[in-house]
Amino acid sequence: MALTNLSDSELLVEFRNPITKEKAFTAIIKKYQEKLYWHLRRMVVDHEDANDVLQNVMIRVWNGLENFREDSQLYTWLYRVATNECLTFLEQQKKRAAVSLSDVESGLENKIRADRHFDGNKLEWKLQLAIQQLPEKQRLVFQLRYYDEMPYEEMSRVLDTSEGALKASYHHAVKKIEEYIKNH
Amino acid sequence: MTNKSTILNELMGLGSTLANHSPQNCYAVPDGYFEGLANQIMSRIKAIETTDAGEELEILSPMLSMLSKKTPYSVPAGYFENLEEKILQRLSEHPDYLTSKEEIETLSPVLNRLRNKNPYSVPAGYFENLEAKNKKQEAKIVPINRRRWYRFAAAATIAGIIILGGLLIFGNSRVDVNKDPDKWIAKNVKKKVSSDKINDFVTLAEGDAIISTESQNTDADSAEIKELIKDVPEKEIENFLNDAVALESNDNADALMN
Repeated sequence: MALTNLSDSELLVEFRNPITKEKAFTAIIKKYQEKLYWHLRRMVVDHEDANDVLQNVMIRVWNGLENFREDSQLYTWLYRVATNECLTFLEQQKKRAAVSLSDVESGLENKIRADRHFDGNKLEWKLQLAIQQLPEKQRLVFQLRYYDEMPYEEMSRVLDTSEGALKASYHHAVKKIEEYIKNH
Repeated sequence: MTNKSTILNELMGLGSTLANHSPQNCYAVPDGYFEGLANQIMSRIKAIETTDAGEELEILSPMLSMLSKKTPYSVPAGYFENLEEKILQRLSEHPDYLTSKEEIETLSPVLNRLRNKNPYSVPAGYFENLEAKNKKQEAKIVPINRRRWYRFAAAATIAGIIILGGLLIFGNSRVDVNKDPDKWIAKNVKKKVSSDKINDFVTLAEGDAIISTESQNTDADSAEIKELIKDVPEKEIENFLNDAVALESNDNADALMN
């Protein structure tokens, strides 16, 4: 039976059945892999880093999905796991490099510029550079809202922050990015 | 006295050198800040109130809303096609990882042996004929409305009987025996006691009344008799009584003979 057309609730039921667990897990990966990948890629910039983080995320999902209480949407939970894993990764990078997080961020900017397709004159690349100027959490808020169009209610569950604070953060982020693009 | 002079006097009273400096604002404000502030705040309010992300971005930044959202980063060819296999491979390398088969073998070897053994049997050709059977059999269509009407009629009839019975049994108002004894008797006695019994009672009551009247009369008569015979000698009264008894005996013998 093809599980790819099942709803999230149905996939969870299949996942909890030992016989169909692997098939259900595979279906979940196929369903959410691109969304989660791009969410991570925009944060860590480098493909290899994004791939590592994504695989770590999926291992966490395999281990933790059994206990998922369904008090939120599945994809909200997946985003939460991915975001936490991403922040852990960036924190580890900081420790590894033994530098401040702002240097890590400038390192990310360098990674953008190092991309073989990078073109500083193009608006989409300027946008990526502008995004990297934002503080880490504000960057997350901006990307979730701008690219994924995530409702603030769900975003508050992903980031464990109030909706009001998220709205304010996003509005500030938009202004900062606009200013950056106008000035560069 | 103005607030300013009050404050100055206070500072001078404290001996502070601040009183000698006139307050000046050292901070600068961007040009045109206050002219555009009201519009900026209104845009922000509109953006907060909308739930649509696209509309929100358009209000906050028309420029950003016109930009393509396509991320310029490149992805290796075929990356997403085999991603799940790579993840499963990585999972299987974990020392604690078990396939579903291994898991059930570990948890319960007995259940694992029974997994593919189905004890139930199915008649030969059951599934092949099932669809055909379902098509042939047409379910009897029973109109719901008629059934429902019958049920309501039956329920109403039963309810009516219960209500009427209740009214008959408990409907009459209680009659106070002290206030209206005739009515009370009419309600409680006449219905419960037969007419024959009432007649017997009345007859008996009349008899008792006669006896009590007679006893009342006897008392009156004896007093009168005493008054009348107070002058008659006793011997003559005895003779009269003896004659009366003899006469009575003769009458009884004649009655027995006849």
